[in-house]
This record gives sequence, C-alpha cells and structure tokens, in this order.
Amino acid sequence: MQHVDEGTLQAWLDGEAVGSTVEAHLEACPECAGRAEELRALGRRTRMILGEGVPTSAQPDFAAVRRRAEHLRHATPPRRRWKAPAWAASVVLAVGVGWMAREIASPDAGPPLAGPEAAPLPVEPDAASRVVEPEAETMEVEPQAAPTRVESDPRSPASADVPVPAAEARAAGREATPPPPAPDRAEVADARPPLPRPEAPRTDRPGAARIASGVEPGVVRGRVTSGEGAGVAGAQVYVPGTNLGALSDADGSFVLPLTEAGLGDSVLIEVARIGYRVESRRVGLDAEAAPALEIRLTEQALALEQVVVTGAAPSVTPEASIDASELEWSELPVAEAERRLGFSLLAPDGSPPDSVAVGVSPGVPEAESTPRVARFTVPVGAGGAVTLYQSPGPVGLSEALPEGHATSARRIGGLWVRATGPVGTETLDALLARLR
Amino acid sequence: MKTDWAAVYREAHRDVFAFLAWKLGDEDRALDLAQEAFARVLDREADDPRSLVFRVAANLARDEVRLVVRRRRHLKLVRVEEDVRAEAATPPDLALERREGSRRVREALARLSETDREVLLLWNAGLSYDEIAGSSGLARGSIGTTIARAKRKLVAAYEAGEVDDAARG
Repeated sequence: MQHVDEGTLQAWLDGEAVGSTVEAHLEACPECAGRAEELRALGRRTRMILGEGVPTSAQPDFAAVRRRAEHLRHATPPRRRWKAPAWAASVVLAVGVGWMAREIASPDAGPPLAGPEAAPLPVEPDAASRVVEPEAETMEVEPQAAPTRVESDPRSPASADVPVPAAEARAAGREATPPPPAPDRAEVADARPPLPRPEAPRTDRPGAARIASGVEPGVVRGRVTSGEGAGVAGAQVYVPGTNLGALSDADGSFVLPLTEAGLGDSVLIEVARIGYRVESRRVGLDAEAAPALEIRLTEQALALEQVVVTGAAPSVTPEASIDASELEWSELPVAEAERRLGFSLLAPDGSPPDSVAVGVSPGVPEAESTPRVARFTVPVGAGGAVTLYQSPGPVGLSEALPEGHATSARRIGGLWVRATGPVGTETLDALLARLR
Repeated sequence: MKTDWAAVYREAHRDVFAFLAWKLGDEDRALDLAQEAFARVLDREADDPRSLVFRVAANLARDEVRLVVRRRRHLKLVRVEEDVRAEAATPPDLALERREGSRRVREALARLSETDREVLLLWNAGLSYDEIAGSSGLARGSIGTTIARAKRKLVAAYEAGEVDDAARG
C-alpha cells in the first residue's frame, strides 16, 4: 500500500490537498491515520507555543502610515518592487482579533450578563487575579487566531469604530495612539462586573479571534490531573475541529473561554498531553452548568520523542473496522448513550442530537457488551436527513446504498465519523467539516 | 471595490507585528517594519489585503535579516531596556512569566532554518499555501513538508528548552 507522505498529510490537514484520496487511504490505513493525528497534535502544540508570550504592541495611529506612504511616494524609487498579488479571491481570512476585542469593549456588543452565569466561579485566587490583570488585555490578539479561513464574522460597523484598548506600556513615548479613555473600560466593567472578561484569560490563545463574538460568554474551567491526582501542566484543552484551546498551567488548572456564537448549549472538549490518552468531555455552556471540571488523564506509553525518531508511530491502537449494517441498535438518551460509549458525540452545530442509537454486535449479552458505535441523524436542506455514525474505529456499511444516497467518512477529534444520506458527497463533506 | 486599508490596518496590525517580532526577535524593528509594510501597500488594491501585507512584511523581514548581524550588539541593549520597561508596567510574576515564555519561544524559533521559520510563521498567521509559496519562493508542493518539519523542530526545541530550564531549576 502506498502511504501518504507527510507533506500531503499536512496539506490535507490544512485543507490544501484534494481530500478524497487522502481520506480513502486514511480510512484503510491505521498507520497513516495515526501519523495524521500526530501531525494534527503537533500543529496544535505549535500554535500554543507560538501563543506563549506572543509579542504585542500598541497600535500606532494609522495617520503615521499615511505619512510614511506619502514619504515613500516622494522618495527615490524603491530599491525593490514587490509583484502584485494574483491570489484567488475566494480566500477569506478570518477577520482579525482587533475588531473582536472592540466588540467586547463596546457597550452595545451584547446584553449584560445576568443571573447565575454572572456569579464568579470558584477559582484559586491566583487565577482569579490573573484574568483581570490589564496585562492580559494584550494577550487577546494572537496570530494563531487567524488561520480559520471560512469564518468571516459579520459585525456592526459601529462596534468596529470603538478604539482598541491598548494596555501596553510600549505605547508610552511613541507616536502611538494613547490608550483608550478609561470611561470605556469602566462601562464595560459596570455592565458585567462579576465575570472575568472573556477576552482576558491568558490561556485562550489559539482561539482568541473566534472568541468574543459578543453573545453568550461561557467559560470552561477545570483542572487536569494524572492518575495520582497531581496536576498535569501543559495539557492542551481544546474544542476539536476548531482553533479554540488553552494550556493547563503548572497546577493543571485551565481556563477556556468559549463565547463564540453557535457553539450551542454544550460543547465537546478534548484534553491531550503527550504521554497520556486523549480524554473528551461534553460540557454545558449554559447558565447553570460549568462547575469546575476535573479531568483525569491516564498514561499512555508514547512520548513525542519516539514519534520524532520513528516519524510514524500511531498514537492510538486503532480499533478494528466495524460494519454498522450488522449491528443491533437501541435508542438511548444522549447522556446515557455517551456514558455507555465512553466518548462524546460530535454534531454540526455543537449541540448534541435529541436521541442516539448505540450499536452492539448481535448475540452478545447486554451485560458484557460495550457499544462502540453511535448512530443519529441530523437534518440537511429541505426535509432530508443525514445519518451519522461515530466510533473510535472505522465504520463501514456492507449494505448497498439506496439510489441517490452517498456516504463519506472522516476522522475527527479521535473519532471516525461516517455520514450517509440522500445527498451528494459534497454536502456530506461540508457537513463533516462542520462537526464539532 | 476600493481596499479600506485603515480597516485592514486596525485588524491586521497586531498579527503583522507579532509575525515580524517573532521573525526578527526585535520588537522595535518589528513595529517599524509593520508600519513600513502598510505604507508600501497603501496605494494598492488587493483581493486579499491581509495576505498582501503579510507578503510585503515577509519580504521586508528577509531584507532585514541580512542586515541584522551588524546590529546585533545594539539589539541586545534595546532588548534589556524593553524588558525593564515591560516589567515596570506589569505585575512582577506576570512580567516574568511572559518574558520567560517569550524567551523560550524565541530560542526555539532560533533553532529553525530561515526558511522553515518563515513558512511556519506565515502558516501560523493563516496564509494559504499559495500565499506562503509566493512569499517564501518555495514550490507549493513542498509547503506541506516544510510546515510539518518546522512544527516538529519547533516543538522539539521548545520542549528541550523546557527540560533545560527545569534542570537548571
């Protein structure tokens, strides 16, 4: 079997390679699937590292740029000319973080929080003080935030005109814009006093740009521990399929602000650390939810160094492929299904389906069987529905598809997901791409 | 449609600055070159203005790197000064933590080749492979390999630094 080379895998992960060939191979080849997963984890780690102590600066006034451009125009011809760009117009980069920050700072950005959500969550004093430090203000703008290409963020022009809070000391003594007037900040503080401002936590780097659409702040907090209860530092806590994530601190504690609109009432988060098995949890983002999570990691005999040396160690023992057509299905409430499955379900808008069926091999007594496959449907377009199968191992279907049906599979956040329904493959792929 | 450079500036300046600062390891120069990059594109139209700025910034940074050796001693002084200023403005533990994080990342980035570093930082800034290829001069087909290699090197170098730090106490 011809394996997928690393460059192509990387390109596929970045959405830069034709997917179908790669996906077909990954489905058939656990080794390559493991390499892809490693590469994905490396990418997350890279973005987090580059988010550590990212350089920030106050933004000098745009007028200075104009003056400089004017100067360039009258100066001698530039020593070098840059070629004009010829890039596809279809590339849409994420709208940047500066605006987002303003959205939050803007008093009309959203209704103030009320009710239980506004109550401060129990955190150790250190973390609490940390999130309100002015220094943290500068951490919200991160280059990591930009990579999402598909998300453009519609926002009101009004909010875009509110000045960026620039708390950097560097502003002093430069031709920089002075920091915004204090009243602005005070207003914000009045509007939502008890909750740490969602842009403030220092641990939100990778997702900063997509956080803060100004709707419903939801902050997931918790602690990552090892088997012995000791805190695990440097664990990645993230929402699969997004750039939202945080690193646990020396004590294992983390703060993951998830205020992005459209995540729904609950969200699946994963916790990963080299040397441990990936854990996933579904956590509520609504008002009553969000007690501090305690996530315990179990060790796994795999170190990053090994991967670097061999370059091809699969991160998990792939499970055998399952034929969904041959399973016996029983419907369960989602929470119960997830408990029995041992993993959380992925759904396109982040909210779980109403109910789900779990599949077990026929003839196995219920007491002994652990379902490994979940099945549920999600609506697409007018009246149509797509069936999604999710499992830690590849899921196949031996039944012939009905006329006009298509099927597509993809590995997302440690799960194999197969979509099948009376729509085109493109629709299925688009749906799979939205799974969280 | 006329490109609204003021809006692009507001939105992208921080990212361009961070890119240049990582690339050059010098925040003063990064601030200056970020301004220069925007000034150079101001009269232009672009389908994707943000990418254009990054591309110009990457070119400026490359020119800059050639000159950097000459200035190295000066840089050192500037950086110490910066650190002192930053420390004065932020609570001590935060300032320290931030500087430590920043130093470790800077050291890890320094282990990468010039090309790997540039490609990785452009990738991190969200540019497409076509744009990264256009800016770095690499073939599009080798971008994926370069990114994968650079990620691996950076993570390894960073984690080695972590271990060193721990060993030193």
